[in-house]
Amino acid sequence: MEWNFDNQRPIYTQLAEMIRMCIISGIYQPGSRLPSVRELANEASVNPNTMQKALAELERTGLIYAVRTSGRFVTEDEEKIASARRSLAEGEVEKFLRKMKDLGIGRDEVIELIRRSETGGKEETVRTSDVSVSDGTQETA
Amino acid sequence: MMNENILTCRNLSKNYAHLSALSGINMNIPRGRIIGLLGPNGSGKTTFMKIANGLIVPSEGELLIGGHRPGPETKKIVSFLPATDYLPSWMSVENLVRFFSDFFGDFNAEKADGMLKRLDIDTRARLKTLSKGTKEKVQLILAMSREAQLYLLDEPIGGVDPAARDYILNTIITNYNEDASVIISTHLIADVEKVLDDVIFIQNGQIQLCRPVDEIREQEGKSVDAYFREVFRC
Amino acid sequence: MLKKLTKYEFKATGRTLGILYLALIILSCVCRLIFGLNSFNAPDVNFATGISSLILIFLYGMLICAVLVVTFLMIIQRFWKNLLQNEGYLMNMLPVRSWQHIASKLLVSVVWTFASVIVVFLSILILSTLAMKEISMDFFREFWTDLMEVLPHIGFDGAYLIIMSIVILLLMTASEILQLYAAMSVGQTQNRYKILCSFAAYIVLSIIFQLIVSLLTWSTGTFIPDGVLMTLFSTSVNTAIYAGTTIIAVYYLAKCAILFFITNYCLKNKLNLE
Repeated sequence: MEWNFDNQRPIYTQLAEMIRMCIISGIYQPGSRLPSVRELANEASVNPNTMQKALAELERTGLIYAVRTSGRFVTEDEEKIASARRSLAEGEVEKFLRKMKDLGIGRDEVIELIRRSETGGKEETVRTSDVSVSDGTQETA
Repeated sequence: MMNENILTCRNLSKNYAHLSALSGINMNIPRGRIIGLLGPNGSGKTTFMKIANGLIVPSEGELLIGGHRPGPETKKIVSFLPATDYLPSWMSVENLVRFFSDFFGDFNAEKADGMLKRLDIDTRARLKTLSKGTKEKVQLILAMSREAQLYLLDEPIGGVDPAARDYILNTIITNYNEDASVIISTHLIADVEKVLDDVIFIQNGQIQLCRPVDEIREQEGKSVDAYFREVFRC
Repeated sequence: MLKKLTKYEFKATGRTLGILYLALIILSCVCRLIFGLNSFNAPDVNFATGISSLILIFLYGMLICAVLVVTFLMIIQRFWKNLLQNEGYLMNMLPVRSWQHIASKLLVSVVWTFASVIVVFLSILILSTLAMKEISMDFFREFWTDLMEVLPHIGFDGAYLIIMSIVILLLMTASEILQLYAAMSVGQTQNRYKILCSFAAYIVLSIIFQLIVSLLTWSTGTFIPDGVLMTLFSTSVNTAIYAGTTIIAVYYLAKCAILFFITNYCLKNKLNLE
């Protein structure tokens, strides 16, 4: 996984987002043990303190939990992961729609475009946003 | 004992005939932090490092490491990486590893050998035959192979290529422990930003600001590098 | 720590001097062989052998100079470069006390000074066997047996004199080396013209010690009545020798102590690595 950071936001929030993404996408399975702070920090080339802070952030949201001696684990509560996925998707859709609005594309036209890209468009352009878009349309429609 | 600040400066000043390299520095460095000492060239970074290692004496004030002024007691717990070429060129890399393990009780020779091997550095080569970049890597490996309580790294990434930079920064973050602190002086902020806890901006021998990196990003909405450019705009 | 420092000091200096020593001994052996074959005063010395002998002798002289000069420069350079220049970063980050640095360097310098002098003498000895015909091992064997014969007869006074001479020689050498160290340590405290200041410090130190010596001799002459000295020396020659050697030894010991203190003070409290 690529650990790239943007310059505007604190690194620990970005790290927390990246790990959350790993959990949602199933790279870290529910109930599985997370690598140690040190391992994660090395992998991301960041300060272990920063990684610690990111994990603390995730602990606060309940996506992961710490067991005193054996480390940190991904929550077994699938519902929690699903809700994290949903809220992430909502955010992405909101962003997407805002952009479409800036481009001057109306809601109906957006739906039309999505349909067309699903049937004939190049797969790779929409692959990643597939889930979130269909999720989003249901809710906004 | 372990909770006290590892390094303390009280009104630390260093004056030369016509200029003051440091004037009235007050600061505390807690344990377990990686701190960037950032400032333009000639701002007093190296002067600070030299005082902390007893290579020059302050004109006024004092600097304490673990409660002691720089001396044999502090040198046992401080691992220093000077900005200059300081290793005797006639010595081979393996000579140096032995030299360090002879004199520093906290030197981990296995760790050093491991890192040298990973970087494909010929340990039998004399230092004078090595390239500048390789020499800097050797210096860093020697400094980071100590299990010290305070690492003082003066411009550790100054003369090496970007790939080596990443390796060096990784070496730094993997080799320090929670009770130790690292002070990295550099003007290459963008490269070190993600490994730092706090930054100290220094200019004309005075501390301009001292803040956690996250706080700067959160409150200023920009990277430390961008913020630095703003603070020190010419 | 002192032991380790000394070990590395020998390592750092041994190679250069070792090669020079070896070269000098080999060259003197070569000279000995060549000149031994066609004896110098032989009337059939032709131009070619004359020139080559001249070159050989010149080379030999140069090498003797080189050994002595290199030893001297090494003493200065090891202190200046290793403690007060870039390498000083390394040496001064070691958890050792400044007196240990000075002591290790002093020890090694004294050893090399004596070694150089001995090697030069040895090489001259090798060459000088030219003058005697067919000496080879017999000469040394005789020398040794003579020495063994004399030794039991020198008695306590003789032994004392020999030991004191060696002690004084050591202290003199040490004090000369320490004067160089002290001058450099004082010179480096300045921010500019460090080398110039070191020279100046050396000259000032020389003047001071010369003054002390003249003051001492003057005061002995002035404050101790002639009669006392006369009676002291007339009682026995031995008393005079005891008194004389002890005074000289004490003087050099004091000189070493003062210079060591100055050097240590500067390195400990006034280090100034720009």
